[in-house]
Amino acid sequence: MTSIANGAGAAPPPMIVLSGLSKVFQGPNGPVNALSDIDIEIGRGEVFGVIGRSGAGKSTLLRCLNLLERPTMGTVTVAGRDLTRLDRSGLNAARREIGMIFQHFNLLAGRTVYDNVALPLELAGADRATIARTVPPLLDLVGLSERANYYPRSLSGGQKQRVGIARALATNPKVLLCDEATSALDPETTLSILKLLDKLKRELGLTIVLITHEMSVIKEIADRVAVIDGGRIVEQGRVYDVLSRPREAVTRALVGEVMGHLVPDDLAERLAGRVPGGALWRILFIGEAGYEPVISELARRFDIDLNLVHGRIETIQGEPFGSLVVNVIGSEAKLRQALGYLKIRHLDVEEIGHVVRDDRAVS
Amino acid sequence: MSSAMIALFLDALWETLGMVGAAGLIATVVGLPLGVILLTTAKGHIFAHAGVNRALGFVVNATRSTPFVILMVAIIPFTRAVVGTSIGTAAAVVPLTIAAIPFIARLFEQAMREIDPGLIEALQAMGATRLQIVRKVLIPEALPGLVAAVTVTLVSLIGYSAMAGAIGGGGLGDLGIRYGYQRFLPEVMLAVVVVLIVLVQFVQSAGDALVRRFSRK
Ligand SMILES: Nc1ncnc2c1ncn2[C@@H]1O[C@H](COP(=O)(O)OP(=O)(O)OP(=O)(O)O)[C@@H](O)[C@H]1O
Ligand SMILES: [Mg+2]
Repeated sequence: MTSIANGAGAAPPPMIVLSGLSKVFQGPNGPVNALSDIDIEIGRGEVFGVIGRSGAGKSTLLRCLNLLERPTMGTVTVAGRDLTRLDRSGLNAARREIGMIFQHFNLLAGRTVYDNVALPLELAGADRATIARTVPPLLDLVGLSERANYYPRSLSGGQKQRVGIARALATNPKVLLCDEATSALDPETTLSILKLLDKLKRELGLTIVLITHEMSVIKEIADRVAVIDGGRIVEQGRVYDVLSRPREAVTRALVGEVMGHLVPDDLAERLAGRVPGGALWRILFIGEAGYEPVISELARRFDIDLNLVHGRIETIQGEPFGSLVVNVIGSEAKLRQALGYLKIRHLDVEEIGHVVRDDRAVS
Repeated sequence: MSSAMIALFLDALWETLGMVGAAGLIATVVGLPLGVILLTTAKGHIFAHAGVNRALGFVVNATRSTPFVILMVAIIPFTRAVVGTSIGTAAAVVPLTIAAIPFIARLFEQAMREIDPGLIEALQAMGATRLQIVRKVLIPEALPGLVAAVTVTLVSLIGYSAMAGAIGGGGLGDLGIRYGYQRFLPEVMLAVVVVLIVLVQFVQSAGDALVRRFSRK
């Protein structure tokens, strides 16, 4: 059918498709539009991050993916099946293919680590032999074989989340939903959990959707990211692109927390006012260009002065990314030539501030 | 105390244990599903149903707010229909059970309400049916609280059984009234009180020990 029509090179169908998704809650002060018109496609084996401020609608969005929250409008298609059209038992079956982990782990206190991981199998009606075959390799995978007979209360936060992950994987799901899965953990433990998720993606081909308010989490493991604000997706794309060139103010604020390459507006204004005859540029070094000695070359070729105001080099998913804020001083013509040269070199330059010749500052 | 008196005492103790045990057992068995229904039919819960929730809540509250002595008398026809008589130990079990069911159902409901809603959500995300949520989370995770509820109920039943005994129900209360009050043997009255205190203490400590045993928090 469609696969033939699309030919051999057709992209595989996405794992998750959200289409026209809206959610309205009836709050005490009238209806709350928690989600409006969300369209997202998530590919197989992709790590997709959703980031936003508190109250932006992240949790609601994630909970719509397994219908813990039923959308007011729109469809949720996972592995080709529209969940909103399933009856109760169909939905329960579909949910076994969608694992979920939580900020506060949600482990059963009365069950050992082993029995917590066995729980989804029990629910699915697996017999003892199947459980005994399935659970130990999962505990091994998350590095908790030694702790099989412990109760959750005697585990650290990171260990609890590992149990949560093993439990979510017990029914061999295709998708893993992570609701602020590392927000209750310290930075080091966060990193180890993210490494584990990355391993699951590579070894099991798992599709992972994670929501977070921390850009560092997105930067660490996501392939693509959607920025949500006021219940709407305001920006989405490859993590590298969104982090290196954020378009929206919300995104800039969130990116600034990890990248620090955005000069705060007030600082930019002040700097702009104090550079007679010069300009303030932000130069982005994207990809391989990150390693090139551009500054000294500019100074030599165009006979202009460059003062470094702020600079930083980062890697996002192994690709180098740098940003420099420089105060350039020289004649208008030379500056224009230099700007042209940077453009030819495919460097991204943004004029943050500029001072015209008669010293009347504009910005 | 004479050996005849001791024999009477043992009989009375045995009757009290029988009444409390039978009423406690039936109340637990009936009260647990009622507690589950009270909790899960509430708004936003897994079996949300306003009508059932309100109706059951009303019956439970009405029964609980009826003084036990009045309840006992009021249901005499029912008691007679069930056990064939309105006096004696077996007859006392009926009002004790009727009074204990709503009492323990509320306590069960409260114990299960303490469970983190995140656990229910986790089970839903795993594709658990609603009955599985009851069996795998609500009851086992609330076990310490449920045991504590049974303990409180048994202790209350010991007190009520003495009251039931006082109006012809047998047991320690009956003994205390007949010998201690009517025949004016204060030492019997005192002994009854002491035995009741010891009994309550015993039930309470056993219950507490079980709660600790099941507690994994
Ligand atoms: N059950 C509910 N009833 C009414 N309003 C709700 C409900 N759940 C969420 N909301 C509202 O919907 C909006 C989005 O909430 P949501 O929990 O999805 O935000 P979030 O991005 O996850 O925030 P946080 O980072 O604080 O967890 C908020 O305004 C919230 O008050
Ligand atoms: Mg949230």
